[in-house]
Amino acid sequence: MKVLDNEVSKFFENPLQDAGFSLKKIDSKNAVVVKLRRSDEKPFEILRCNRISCWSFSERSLKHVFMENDTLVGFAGFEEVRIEEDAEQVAVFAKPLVEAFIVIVRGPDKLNMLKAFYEVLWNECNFPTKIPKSLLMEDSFDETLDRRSAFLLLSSNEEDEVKRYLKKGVRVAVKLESWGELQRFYNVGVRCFLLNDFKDEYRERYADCFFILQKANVASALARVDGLIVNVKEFSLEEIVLASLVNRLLPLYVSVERFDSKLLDVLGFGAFGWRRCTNSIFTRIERERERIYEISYVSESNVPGRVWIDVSKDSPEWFFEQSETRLRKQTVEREDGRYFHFYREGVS
Amino acid sequence: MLELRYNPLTDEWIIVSAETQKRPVQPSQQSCPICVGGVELPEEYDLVSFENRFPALKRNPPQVSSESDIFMKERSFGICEVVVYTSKHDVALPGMPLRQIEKLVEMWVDRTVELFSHEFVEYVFIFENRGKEVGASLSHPHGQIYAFPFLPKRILAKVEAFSKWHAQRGSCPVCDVVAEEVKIKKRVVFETGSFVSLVPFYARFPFEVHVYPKRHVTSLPELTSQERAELAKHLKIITLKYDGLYGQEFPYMMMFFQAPMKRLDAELFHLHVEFNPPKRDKDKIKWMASVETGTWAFINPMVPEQAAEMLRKVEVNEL
Repeated sequence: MKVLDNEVSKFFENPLQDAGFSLKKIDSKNAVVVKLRRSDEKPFEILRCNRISCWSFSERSLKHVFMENDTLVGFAGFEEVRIEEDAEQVAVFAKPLVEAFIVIVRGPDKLNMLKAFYEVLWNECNFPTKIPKSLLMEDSFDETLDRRSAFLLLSSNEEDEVKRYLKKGVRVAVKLESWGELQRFYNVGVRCFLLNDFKDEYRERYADCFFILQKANVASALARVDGLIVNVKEFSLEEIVLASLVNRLLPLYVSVERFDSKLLDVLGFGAFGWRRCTNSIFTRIERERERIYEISYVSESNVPGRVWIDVSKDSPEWFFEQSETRLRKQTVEREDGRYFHFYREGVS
Repeated sequence: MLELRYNPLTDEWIIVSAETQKRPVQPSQQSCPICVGGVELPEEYDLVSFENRFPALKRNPPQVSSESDIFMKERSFGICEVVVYTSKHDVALPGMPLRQIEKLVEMWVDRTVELFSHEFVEYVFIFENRGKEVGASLSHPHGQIYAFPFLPKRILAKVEAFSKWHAQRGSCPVCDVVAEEVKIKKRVVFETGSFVSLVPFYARFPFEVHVYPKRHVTSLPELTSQERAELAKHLKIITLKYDGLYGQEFPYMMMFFQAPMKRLDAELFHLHVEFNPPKRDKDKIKWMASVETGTWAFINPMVPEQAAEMLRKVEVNEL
């Protein structure tokens, strides 16, 4: 693998000096961070690897990490990401946004290298964590259940519907056809938008908005928007598990087609047309054995559960725990706006 | 006034809250605001957690603007809850039926999950101040929860210590301590299948006790039903032993340290409970004075092994 025209091993040996980038070693993660700044140049080659021995996600928008043997190269903060493939090689071309990072990690397996990569982005490169939401269609939206926890997704030609729901206090997301529509819907009170492209200057102007991109590479979308819609229907179970690691930094919004929503929910994917139930910040993914991942999570009834993913099989295996002490909760809002949560024994 | 102010000398946020000054101090049972019929809870209840009338942090705090780029302010986002353990005014954790404490643990689990779901919450801190020696303003059995919008300094110190230990040794410090302590036993106060309560080798207070789950779990919601029940038992046994030590109500600060779940290194953290009692003898207090407050360095006048032995010897009914 070559990064910026240098063999990756060189980055771990003597510190490379180059006017175009700075380099930081993270010994605790066996990683190196290469930092590049915006230039007026055209997109240039940031990575080249062997097509046969190299692994990456099959979905194009998730091709922001490439692995070969014990090395991972991942990148973030680039625009105009272009991936060129021929029979022998894969080359990635891109152009730094304001600040761009290439992270090289060495580790024992895919899962641990990916975990280290996202931790380095979060901790060393200051990419913030994000919380996934539900984007629900009108036929599945329950006004009493979803009012505070989900967005009702409407299209930009349904302006009357948008206004009607906003008046009821429902959180509405609007799928925009053009940027010109943003200001109009912002003025009526919409704060969540689905877009085809994104301009950084709008982040400042609409600081209180929630932006979800429909077509982009993760490397361009990280830390700029609040979510990315991806198509995972051709993914293997292993790819779903590995792709879920992105979710803490950039929720990947997926619809339920091949996969059941419970697995996607537990793994912290953003919900596109289905309802999120669990709090995925409690989810942990471990590599149990060579071909088995164990996912531990906290269920919507607050009991720990586990899922086993055997990558050679096509269905996850679920293990539940039964709670012996179940409390029934009743939440009351007092006149002064304070919430009181009453708990009694009994199943809710 | 309700706002966060940044201290550049220590790189930390200070919560300025004039509201908390209005809190009542030790009202009698007749005027207890959290008894059934009291000003906060007129209705019948079993357990309840509610947003403090005099909060240090609020879900909709007032807007603020910094005085300058030196004197920086932020809005006081967060939630402060009062957790009422039971409707009975005259009991405390040691006197509560075990079943009630098990329900309390379940309530803490639910509060942890719910509070962490708020976008502005970075850390959920469950605690109880028992006794006027540690500033408890009500005698009715209750604790509190602060859902912080930032990571408080000591939590950050713990997170960094876990990370450093893991980088150097590839393991968790609590897992390593537990494995060693259950072997040598001399600092263990009470042990069950899934938990151990001990006076730590590094105790800061004379009768400090830590409750550690033996399994590596990062937060209360990850505990199984069996583990939650065992945790309840440890809380009861330790507080009973405290009361039995000098035959008097023993003041303490009880604090739950869970992982800051939104951090990507949260899985390195190991859930634990700390009891920090201020007493060093029957009628002597170990004050948090200049050295402790100013430097965070503690001088413990009690040898931890001796404190563990004294607490072990206090007989309590196995429940």
